[in-house]
Amino acid sequence: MATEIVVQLKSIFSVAAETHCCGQTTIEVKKEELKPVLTYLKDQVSPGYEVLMDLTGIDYLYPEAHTVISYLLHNPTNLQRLMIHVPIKRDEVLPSVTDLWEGADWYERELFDLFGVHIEGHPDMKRILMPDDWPGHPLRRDYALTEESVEFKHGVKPKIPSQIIPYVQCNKNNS
Amino acid sequence: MYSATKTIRERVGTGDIIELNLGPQHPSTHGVLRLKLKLDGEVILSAEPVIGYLHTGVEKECESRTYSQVFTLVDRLDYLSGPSEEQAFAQAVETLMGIEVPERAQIIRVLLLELSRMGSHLLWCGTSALELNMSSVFMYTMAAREKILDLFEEMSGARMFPSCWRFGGLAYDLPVAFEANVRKFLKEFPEIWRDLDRLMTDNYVWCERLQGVGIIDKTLCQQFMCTGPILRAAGVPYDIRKAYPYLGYENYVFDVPTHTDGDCYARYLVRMQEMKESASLVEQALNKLKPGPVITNNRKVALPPRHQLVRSMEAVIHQFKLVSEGIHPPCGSLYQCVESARGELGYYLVSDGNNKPYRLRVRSPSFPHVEILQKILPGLILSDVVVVIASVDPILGDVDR
Repeated sequence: MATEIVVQLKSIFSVAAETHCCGQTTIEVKKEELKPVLTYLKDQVSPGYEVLMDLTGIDYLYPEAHTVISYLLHNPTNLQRLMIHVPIKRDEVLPSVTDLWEGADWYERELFDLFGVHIEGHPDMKRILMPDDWPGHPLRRDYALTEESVEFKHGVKPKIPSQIIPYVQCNKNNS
Repeated sequence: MYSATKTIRERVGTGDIIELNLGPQHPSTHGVLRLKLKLDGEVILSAEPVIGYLHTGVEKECESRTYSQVFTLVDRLDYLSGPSEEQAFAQAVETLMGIEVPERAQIIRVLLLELSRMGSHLLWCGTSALELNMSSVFMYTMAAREKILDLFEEMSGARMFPSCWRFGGLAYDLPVAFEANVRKFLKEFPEIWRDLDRLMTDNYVWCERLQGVGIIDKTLCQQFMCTGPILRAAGVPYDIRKAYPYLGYENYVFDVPTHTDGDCYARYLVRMQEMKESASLVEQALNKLKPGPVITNNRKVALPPRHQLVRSMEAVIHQFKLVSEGIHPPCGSLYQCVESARGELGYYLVSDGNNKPYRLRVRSPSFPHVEILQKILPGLILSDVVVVIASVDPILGDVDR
C-alpha cells in the first residue's frame, strides 16, 4: 500500500482527491502541480518511482467535456505503484514529461492522436496510430463510432450514417 | 564521402546520405512495421519507426461491447499469446467484482498461459533465425510449435486463440486425453530444446551477428518502460509472476532467468531459458490438477449448466439476464497486469456500473519496445537492423491496437 507516500505528497502539494479501488491508490492533482509532483516522486523520494509504466487518458462528457490523463508510476525497488490523475479541459495544454522519461514521447503522441490533448514541450508532435490527415480524435466520447457496409455479391446495403452513440448514465445501485 | 563537420540535416539531399524505407511490407519486420532510415553507406544515422498500419481501434470498439464480448476482441491484439490478453482482461474484471476462480480453473489457465508462452518464444526463435538465413532452425521450431497448437485445438477447437476464458473460470473442462498429450509433449520438449541449443548457442554466425549488437541497458529500460525479456537481459530480475503474483503463481517453483549484457544474444539466452522454465511450470501445473469445477457457481457472472435449464426457472432467468444484458461490475477503475511472452501486459479498466466498459486501456508490452528502436539503431549497420528488430520481438497487432 502506498499510503505513506500519499501522506508525504499531501503535506507538500495540494492533492485534490484520493481514491482507493481494490488496493490501488489513485491521486488527483492539478495541472499546474503535475510536473512538480512527478519530479518529486521520481527524483526526491527514496526509493524513487523511477518508471512511468503507463500513460493514458479517459474522456468524460459529463458534467462538462474533459479528459483525465492518468500516469501510472512504478517503483522498481519496493514494487509499489501509484496512479496520478490530471483532469484537463478540452482547450487546455498539458506539459510534456519527455524530459523526465524519454519513452513518454510516443505515449504523448498517442494522447494527442486519440484524445486530442495538446502537449507543450514535446519534441515531435504528430499523429501516431491514425493517418496524418484523419479528422477527429477517436477515443473521445463524442466521436461517432460508425459502421461501413461491406460489398457483397448481391448488392450493397446503404451506409449507416454517423451518429454518436448516446451515453446512458447507469442508475443500477450496485456496491 | 563522409564529412564529419556537417549535420545530418545539411547532408540530406547532397547525395551522400541515402533515405531508405524499410517496410511496411517486408518479411523481416515481423508484421507491418515501417522504418524510415537515413544511411551513410551502410551505417545508420537515424531511424524512425512508423506504426499504425494495423490500428483496429479495439479500445474504442470495446466501449460499445458488453464485457463478455470483449474477450474475442482483445484476443486478437497479441496474436501469439492470446491467453495472456484474455487473462489480463478477465483478471481486471474479476478483481473489480471480487469473483473467486476455482482452483482447477486457475491451474488450467496457468497451463495454457505457459504453453502459449512456449509457442510464442518458439515462433520468435524460428523467425529470427530465418532472418539470418538459418532456415533449418525455423523448420524445427515450427514443428515444435505445431504440437502446442494441436494441444490448443484439442482443448478448444481453435489453434491460435483458445478463447475459453470466462469470468470466474473457463468455458469448458479439459478433454479426456489432454493431460496425457501434454505429458507426451513435455517428454519430447527437452530434446527439441537441446536441438535448438546445439543449433544456435555456440553457432559462430549466430554469435557474431548477435553479440554486442543493440545493447539496451538498465537505465535505458527505465527511460523507455521496457519490460519482459528485454529488462531481464539487462540484469533486472523483474517478472510480474513473481512481483505481483496472479493465478497462484506464488505456489510454483521457477526461476527468473537474467543476463547482464543487455545485447541481442543475452535476450536470446533469456528467452531460451524461459522456455525451459515454462515447461517446468506446465509440468508442475499438471501435477497439481485435481478434479473439480472449472467455473464459479456465482450465477450473477457465470452461465448456469445446460442441464439445469429444463428444470429450473431461476436458471432460465439467470441465463437470459447474462446473455441479453451481461454483467455489471461496480463503479471503479483498476490496473491489472500479467507477464505475457513480451513483457508487462496491463489492462486499465474504468467501469461506471454499466454492462459495457467505460474505458479499457491496453498497455501493450511491444509499444515501448518498438519506440526504443529509434534510440538503439543509430550507429549500427543496415544488416543489424533485422537482428535488433527480431530481438525486441514486437507484435504489431499489439503495438497498434
